[in-house]
Amino acid sequence: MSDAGNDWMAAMGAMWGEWHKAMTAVPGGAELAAAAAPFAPHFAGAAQERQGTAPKLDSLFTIGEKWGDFAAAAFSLGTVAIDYQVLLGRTWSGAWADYGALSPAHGGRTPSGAAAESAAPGWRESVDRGLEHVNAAMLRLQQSPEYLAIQRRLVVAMTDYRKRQRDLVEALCRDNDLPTRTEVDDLGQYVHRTRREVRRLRAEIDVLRRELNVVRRRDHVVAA
Amino acid sequence: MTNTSAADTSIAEVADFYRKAQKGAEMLASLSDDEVDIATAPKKEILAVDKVRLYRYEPTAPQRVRTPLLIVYSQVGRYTMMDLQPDRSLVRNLLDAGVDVYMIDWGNPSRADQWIGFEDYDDYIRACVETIDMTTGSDRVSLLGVCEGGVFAACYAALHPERVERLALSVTPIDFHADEVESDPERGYINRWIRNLDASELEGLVDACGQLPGELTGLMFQVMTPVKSLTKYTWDLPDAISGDRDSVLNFLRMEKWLSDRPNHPGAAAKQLLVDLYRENRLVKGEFRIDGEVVDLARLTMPVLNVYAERDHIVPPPTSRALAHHVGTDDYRELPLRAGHIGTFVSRRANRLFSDTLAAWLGEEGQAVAAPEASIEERDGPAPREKELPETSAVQAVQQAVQKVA
Repeated sequence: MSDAGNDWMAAMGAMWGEWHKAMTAVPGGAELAAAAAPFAPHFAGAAQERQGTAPKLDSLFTIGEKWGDFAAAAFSLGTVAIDYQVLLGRTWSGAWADYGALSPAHGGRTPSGAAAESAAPGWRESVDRGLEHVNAAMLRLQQSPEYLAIQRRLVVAMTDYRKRQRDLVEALCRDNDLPTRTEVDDLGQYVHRTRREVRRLRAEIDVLRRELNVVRRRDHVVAA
Repeated sequence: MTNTSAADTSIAEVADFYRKAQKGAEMLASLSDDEVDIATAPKKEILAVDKVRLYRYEPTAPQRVRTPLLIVYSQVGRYTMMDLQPDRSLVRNLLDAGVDVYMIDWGNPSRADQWIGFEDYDDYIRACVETIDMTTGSDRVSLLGVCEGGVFAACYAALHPERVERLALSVTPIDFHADEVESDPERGYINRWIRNLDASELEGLVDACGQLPGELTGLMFQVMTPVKSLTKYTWDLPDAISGDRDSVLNFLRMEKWLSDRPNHPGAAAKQLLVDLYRENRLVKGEFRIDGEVVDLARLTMPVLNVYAERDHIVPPPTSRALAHHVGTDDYRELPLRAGHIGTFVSRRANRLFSDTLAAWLGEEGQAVAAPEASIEERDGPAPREKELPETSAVQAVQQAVQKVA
């Protein structure tokens, strides 16, 4: 079975698990779930068999696979984005908490015991100082291996998402006799090469024109 | 300070904050889009190739510097930064100093331009230099490269030194790994970000988008200053918009420029990110344009390297490294107490930069006395052109071939 098929089977299994868990939480549901449990493998098996023996609608299943890949990439991107936000949020809130501990109301000492800065004179300056404190923490974070690792995962996930999205759209285009992005890009490349060639021919003409000018001036001097 | 006085101060600050916010809102309501105008110095388009345009600025003073100056801006931002507003305009200052100023506008590349690489930028600069030659009769130009435009300019000057009288670079990275000697967390974010990725990951990122979208580079710049980017339009906004009309217009013009971030063609983006930022090939003598190695030792013309001491985008060591690679003894540096953009929009840095550059351009007997002329008068047939009869380029080639034969 294809990866998409396996993913689908896994998703069905997970759904069955969720359904079973939900059923056991309602009165009488546990009994119903227990009664249905023996049939689960048959349902899954029947679905698998059906997919294996059904008519091979290649284009349809290609789209299905592309959808599956795209959905997986979107899920992956979402997950990494959440990890990234959590890391930023944790550092942000941690820095604010640390700054709060610097205030006289908290004894003027940081959690590590360091002496606090001078008392904040007012609301705005106090917040400004807090923001500076948080900014310094965020900049330190940006250099940490943890941040760099998540940032890299984010780039890879974003790239994969865009690629899967394009694969899906191009599959739909092909099925509907529409030009794909790849074909348009190829055409663009031909045009680009042609333009470059024209530019360079013009440049060569300019060089010749300049040389011609030198020769003319020399002739002019000789004639004079 | 007692708690009571701190509370009093806070109450006064809250009142002040809301007063500024209200004043700022009224100020914004009284302004129109037309007032937030940038790049207003009069200029004329003298070349159009693909999306690239070459402008010649209208003179404001008698020409005192013989060699024309061609400004090569970065593809990451728009050239309008050079003339953001009349009182902070490098272009106007140079014109007032009698410099004949030309500017390349790279336009706004779309996905259709994704194949444009450094080879093409070299072609474009070559076409601009040729056009200036045809217009003025000067077969050499002085170049001012800005940021990534400085890399373009340095590459062009190294490949065609015979066409470059003087080379000035500002906030230009040359040794892309030189930031590693610093430990300042506020600097070198882009350098670290790129070195953290494989070449294939960087290429994949560009391929996925077909280019380096302007939104993405804009986002990267915002992440570099994580808290400032969040508070700019919230906490700090009342301060920015509650000043006098001129200061609010300054702020809005800067915002207008920031939001006008062009896409970067994919092929050139890969060269920039992988070959330069990641592999650091320029200073290793391995960076090639059209198969030809860019040898910085061929920079034998006078070089002025302007860098910003507080530059968080291009760390100063990455710029100053140029000193170790040029092939000229006439190498000078101008440090500015400003940030990357402050180099051009800080009133003081802008003035120092302009004055130093104009004086440097005017050195070595370049100064000429020329009558003040309008751009129309200047655009008349140049001495070299006058010697040529009206002829098409093809005819010129045919004649040249006959001559050779």
